[in-house]
Amino acid sequence: MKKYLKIYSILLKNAFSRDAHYRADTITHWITHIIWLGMLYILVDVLFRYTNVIAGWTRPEVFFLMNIFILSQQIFLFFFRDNIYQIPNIITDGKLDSYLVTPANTIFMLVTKQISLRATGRIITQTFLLGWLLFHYNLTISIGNGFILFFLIILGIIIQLAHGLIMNTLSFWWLRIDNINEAWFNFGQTAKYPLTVLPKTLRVLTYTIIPIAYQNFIPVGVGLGKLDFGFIGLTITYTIFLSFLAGQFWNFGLRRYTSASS
Amino acid sequence: MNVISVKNLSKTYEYYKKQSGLWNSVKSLFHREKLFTEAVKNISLEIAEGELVGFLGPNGAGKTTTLKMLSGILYPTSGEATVLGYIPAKRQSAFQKQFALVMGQKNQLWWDLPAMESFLLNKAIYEIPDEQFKNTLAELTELLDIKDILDIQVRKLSLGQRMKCELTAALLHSPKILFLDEPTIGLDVVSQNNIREFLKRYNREKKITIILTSHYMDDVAALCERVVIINFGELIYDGGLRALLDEHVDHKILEVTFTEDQDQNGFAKYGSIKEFTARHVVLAVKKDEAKKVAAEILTTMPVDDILINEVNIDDVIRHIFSAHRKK
Ligand SMILES: Nc1ncnc2c1ncn2[C@@H]1O[C@H](COP(=O)(O)OP(=O)(O)OP(=O)(O)O)[C@@H](O)[C@H]1O
Ligand SMILES: [Mg+2]
Repeated sequence: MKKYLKIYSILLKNAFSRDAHYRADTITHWITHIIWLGMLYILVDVLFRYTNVIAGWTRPEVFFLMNIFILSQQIFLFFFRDNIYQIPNIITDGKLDSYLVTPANTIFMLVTKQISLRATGRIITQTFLLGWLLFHYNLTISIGNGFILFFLIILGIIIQLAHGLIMNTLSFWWLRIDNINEAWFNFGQTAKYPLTVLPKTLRVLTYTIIPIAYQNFIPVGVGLGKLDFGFIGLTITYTIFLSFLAGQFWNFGLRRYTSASS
Repeated sequence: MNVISVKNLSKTYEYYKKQSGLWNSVKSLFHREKLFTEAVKNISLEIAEGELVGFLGPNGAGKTTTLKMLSGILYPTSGEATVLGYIPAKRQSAFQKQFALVMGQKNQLWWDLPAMESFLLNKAIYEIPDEQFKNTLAELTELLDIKDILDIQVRKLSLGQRMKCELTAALLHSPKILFLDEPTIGLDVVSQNNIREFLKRYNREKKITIILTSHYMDDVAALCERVVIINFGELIYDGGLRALLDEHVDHKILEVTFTEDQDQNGFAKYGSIKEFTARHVVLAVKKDEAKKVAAEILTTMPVDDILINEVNIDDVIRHIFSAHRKK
């Protein structure tokens, strides 16, 4: 454990010295992000022009849900997304070799390789926006519920990570996964909106095979008191299950690894 | 004591033709063309502590595949390998802390950071104590003469400098075994020589066991007393380099320059003529007759200069490869 903290602190330090070259990039990203956010808000505003409640969610609640979604995505990007997307390349061009000979957990080394500092600006923006939303709309969340919300968001990110790992482990069989990654990314955007708009059978899928509900719907639902505490148990169980499955699936795929002739 | 023991090791790559595109990927779930390559066939060998062994063989012979099995990257298809008493494919960290693998064609350092950062990461991964890290690093940077390039981004280093840094990174945890896959590839003669000198010295001083593959015969001739020749995945020779040459070389090369034009027909009786121009001839002469022939030419013809050379090792190896292929 101490060893991995040490490794992670080195990776973090390296991310800072490397990302220093990409400062300008960060600002462009941040500006596009703000514009995109603005458009999203206008869209939701239009939807709520003729009604006060959509599928049981009020306007402030939907705004809150959306912002938690974006925050969760950005945190995931900060720590993991680029690393997950690189796995297929690492497998197909044989770079995995060097991971397999070093005395450190391969999955850990793969998913922590880089830290995407470019998400920092967006994470800070989101945090401020969330604070403003709570204040502006008078949404009250108790400290206890706030803590639960935070905890569930973290589990949601672990679920995203495990899911991403499972998808990209497929590249032990298939040459290219990026179209699947892209399709998944686009599909995942659905989670911005209250999943209660979906029919019940479809909603069950979002808890299981297509686990997008854990990113924001369940955390916010529980946090705002719209869903009962049973969902906390569900989230914990699913996190453990999916992480275990991801590990097993990785080991299974690894047996097929043939490296690359270099 | 044997640190590496290999028995009937074989590897058959079994792979599907990989398809690109989503639709092809889905289709390939149901029907895929299966391909096989027998890369290593039934290899057995023992390597003792402190040995420096060279793996020779033409492209695609199975050298890299063998190293990958010994370092636990690939599972053998059959047979077994034990390295330092461990089964490599189990990838136990106690084992991984005792060897290192360096591939000349692959870069294992952080590309856009100074080499020092990679060294520090390795320190954490291999859990090297501070004191040991400091001493080993000082020693290696001294031997390889890289003290002043540790703070330069790796991508700005020359190939030779990078290779030295790769070696340093690999040796920081003081491994007992070092696998080197073409460590001198692409380097100029001076850098090649530096690396060779370093390996020779390190092997002698640390008793580290080194297995090296190379396409440069000079590497092998300079470093390895023992060579293992692999061709088409089979082991066709395992023994001393000197013995190999003695066994396969029955002639020497006689090179003579004359002060007057000569007739080609006059040389056929000495051996086979490799090259001929009016005042210059290159002959392959039976080993034990070389001196006698040289003396005779020297006394009977207007000689300007005469040289007796060993056969080029590259030629010998090429000859062995092709002789094996014809069998
Ligand atoms: N990942 C792989 N998948 C399928 N076949 C492979 C793979 N790696 C190597 N091979 C095949 O196995 C055989 C042995 O390859 P290997 O890389 O071990 O040879 P080598 O002796 O290292 O050659 P070189 O001198 O060119 O490096 C070759 O026929 C090669 O095409
Ligand atoms: Mg090779």
